[in-house]
Amino acid sequence: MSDPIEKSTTALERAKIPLPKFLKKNHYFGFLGILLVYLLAGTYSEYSQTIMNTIIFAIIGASLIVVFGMAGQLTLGHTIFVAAGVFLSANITTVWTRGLETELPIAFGVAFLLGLIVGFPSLRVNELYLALATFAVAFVGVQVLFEWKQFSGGGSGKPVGKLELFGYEFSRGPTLVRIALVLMLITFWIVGNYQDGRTGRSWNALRTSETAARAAGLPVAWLKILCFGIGGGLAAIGGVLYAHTLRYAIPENYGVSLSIIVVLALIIGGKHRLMGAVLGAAFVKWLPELSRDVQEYEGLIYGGTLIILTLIAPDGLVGMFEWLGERVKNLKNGSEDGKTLSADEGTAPLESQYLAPLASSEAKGSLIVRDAAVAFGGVKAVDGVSFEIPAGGVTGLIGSNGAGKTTLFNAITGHVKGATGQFILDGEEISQKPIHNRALSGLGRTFQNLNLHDDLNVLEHALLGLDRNMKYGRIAESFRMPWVLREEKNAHYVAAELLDHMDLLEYWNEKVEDLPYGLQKRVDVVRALATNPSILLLDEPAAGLPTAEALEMMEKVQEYANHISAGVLIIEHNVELVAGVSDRIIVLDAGKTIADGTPEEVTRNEQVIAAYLGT
Amino acid sequence: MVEYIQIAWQGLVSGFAYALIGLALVMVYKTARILNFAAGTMAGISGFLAHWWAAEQDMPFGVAILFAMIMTGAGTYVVERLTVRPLVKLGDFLPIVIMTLGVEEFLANVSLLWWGGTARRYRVPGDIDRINWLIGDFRLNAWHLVVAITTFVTLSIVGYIINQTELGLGMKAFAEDQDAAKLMGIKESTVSIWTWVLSALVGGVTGIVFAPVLFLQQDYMNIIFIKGFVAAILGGFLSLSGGVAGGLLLGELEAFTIKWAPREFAAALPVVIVFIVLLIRPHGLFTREKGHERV
Repeated sequence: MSDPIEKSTTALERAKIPLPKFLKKNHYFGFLGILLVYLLAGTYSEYSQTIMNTIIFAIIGASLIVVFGMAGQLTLGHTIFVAAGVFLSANITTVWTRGLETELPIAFGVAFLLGLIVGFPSLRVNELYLALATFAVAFVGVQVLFEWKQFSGGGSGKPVGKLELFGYEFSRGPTLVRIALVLMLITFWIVGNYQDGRTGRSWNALRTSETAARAAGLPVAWLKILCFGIGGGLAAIGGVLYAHTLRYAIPENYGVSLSIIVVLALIIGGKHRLMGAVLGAAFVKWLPELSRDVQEYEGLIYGGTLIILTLIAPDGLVGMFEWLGERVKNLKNGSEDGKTLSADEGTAPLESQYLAPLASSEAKGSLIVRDAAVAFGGVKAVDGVSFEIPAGGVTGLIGSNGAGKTTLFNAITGHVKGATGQFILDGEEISQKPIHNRALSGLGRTFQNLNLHDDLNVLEHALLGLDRNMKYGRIAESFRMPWVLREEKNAHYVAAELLDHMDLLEYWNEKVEDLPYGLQKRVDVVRALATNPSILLLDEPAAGLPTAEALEMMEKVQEYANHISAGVLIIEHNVELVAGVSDRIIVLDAGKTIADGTPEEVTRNEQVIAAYLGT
Repeated sequence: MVEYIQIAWQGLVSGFAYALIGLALVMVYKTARILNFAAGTMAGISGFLAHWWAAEQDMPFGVAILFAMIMTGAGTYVVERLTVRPLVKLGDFLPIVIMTLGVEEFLANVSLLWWGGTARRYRVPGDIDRINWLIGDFRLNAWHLVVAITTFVTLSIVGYIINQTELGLGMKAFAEDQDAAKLMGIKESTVSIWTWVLSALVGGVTGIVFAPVLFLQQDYMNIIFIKGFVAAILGGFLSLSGGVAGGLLLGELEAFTIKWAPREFAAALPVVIVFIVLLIRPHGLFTREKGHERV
């Protein structure tokens, strides 16, 4: 405690950024609600069947949150996972005469693998196609089940065996509801853990911009397939429960219409929150209980509700309640409570205990570009460019519009296909690697046209950048292991210090789409810096900013790059600015290097003056 | 030999349905970048209206068809204005897709309430669908001939509209570049709505001519909708003629698969095709790959 650095406040404390905790407020509320239902489940009522169905639909809804709410993959084939659970359960209980201890793992495992296959088209096509491709999967899935009589019993279906767990047989009534509740608790807990961890953050990121997610080093392809695997596996758990409630598995029940209903239910409830899964399930399952008339018009009401909600409350019932809640809060408080940071200045961010260890006196690595070329049709946008960016230091890249600067960046980071030439980072050839692996090798970049994750906040952008150096695995994340939380907490501290350094701390909780342009540019830079890159490629980071502000920002970036000893390559139109910050300038014209030297040499070079600076 | 010609003809007839629905889907997707999940149900309602009016309300067949088409056009106009239009300005397509899902659920239930869930088989006036001609060993059903002729007429009319009219020009402009088209002074909402109506009319024609071929059930067009979608994927989803060709190809593939392969496989054929095409040629069989996304 004698260390003065530890005593002073950290950026995180000053901005009052909450840390991920083992037990959240949601957990307590969830426990309370479930305890209530658990107690009620014992008293038999005419509604126990509806309670059971609501629980099952909530589990399926939670599994859809993974695929659709987080990763943003609109799937209409989700019922094939439910069907997998149902029919596996029927077969395991009757053919193998085993209980839940066998059904649940097998259902999860099989549906997980099935999900990896179903998720495959998501790599090749856009969301619109995917919606229809999965629609086709649901449609054909039922037909295949129908024809595969050995497994499904064909049109007449298959009975489901006893409800057993490790050889103990249970009566189906209240005990089944309790088992379902426990499974729902586990499902919700797991999905909630993803929401707090790196996987959920990555899914949220790829939903809004895959390009940017790749540049931050996220394995987008794997993440997309994984969301189908996990979503499918969890849905199959709902399927096993469904099998035991219905006691009879009939193929035609698991077709397109059920697929659409589960999606509609989640959208009506709200697709970004676990509470949305509960509300949606409750809406769909309790509405028909109201009266017989309602039963007849069931589908009509779902469709109508969805149409109206999509128009007025795109985030569903949960979104509506949250909006109302905020309204009430604002009425009470009058105005928003101040976002200002506490007056305590704290330590300089770079000397804080979180950023100081990142300092390296030794330059990390150099980038060698050999014969880089990119052609669009007949036009050679980049035509045999070679240079070496030494470790550490700032190199400017200038050239008139269309000189090939951004295309060269895209060639280096892999964002443009068909680029030729060699790129060697830190002695390692990266020319053949996919985008995210180049990022993982230590290539950080920003985008000329802002490429941020619109509905994530500033802090989350920094955390996304930090993902590159996170160690914990996805299975540990599913179960909220202590070391996961430890690492997450540390990442929050680091992110806060980094935001403080870039003067973004007070905006940490703002969605980036609500920020002014200049700040958005800074968020882009923060994300790239957070990856702790060896080489940082900045594509017009100061475009559109007044020179004073641009200079201030560049100083901060330079300071940080020096701190972590990263080399910087910067594209910038403002020659004054570039000359001010760079040790060396490369000039491109029509895809070729026409000058390469110190700022003084370059600005005196006649060819450069003719091509770029003008007379 | 005649057996194969018979199978090929059978495949061609189902192919017509897939081709027409594929065309209707591609049309809207190409101009507005929207997938209409209600397309199948809407086409089904057109078919139901026409045949129900003719068979149960004693309307002359021609008048029933005319009324059904008018209803289809007007209904689509209202649906587009009420549900899709308010979302277009948000600039995000996902809510629109979800909206069309909601419309699908809504309309499917309207028709379920109206006509009930049982399958019906309506006769065509003059029992044309029962006339079979034998040409050698080749059996030609008269209604199948009507289907073929209707398909050609529909395709010609759509071709004419796209190539010769201002609406067609607007559609092409929007397909090429939405922003540029707007800057050229083409009104987006006008082009969009007439594309929707045209697409729904093509769907309606399909629903009407195929009703006597299939059992008229509340969701009878859904299977054709799926296969029309597969046709559109085969054609690359951005090419009208590709969608038509994809539909015919799918019809043939299906007809011959049913002959040679086990039923489980025939049922799974559309999905297998979708996966293979997406794996090998995500841009479709007939179109060349377009340029890459700019970063």
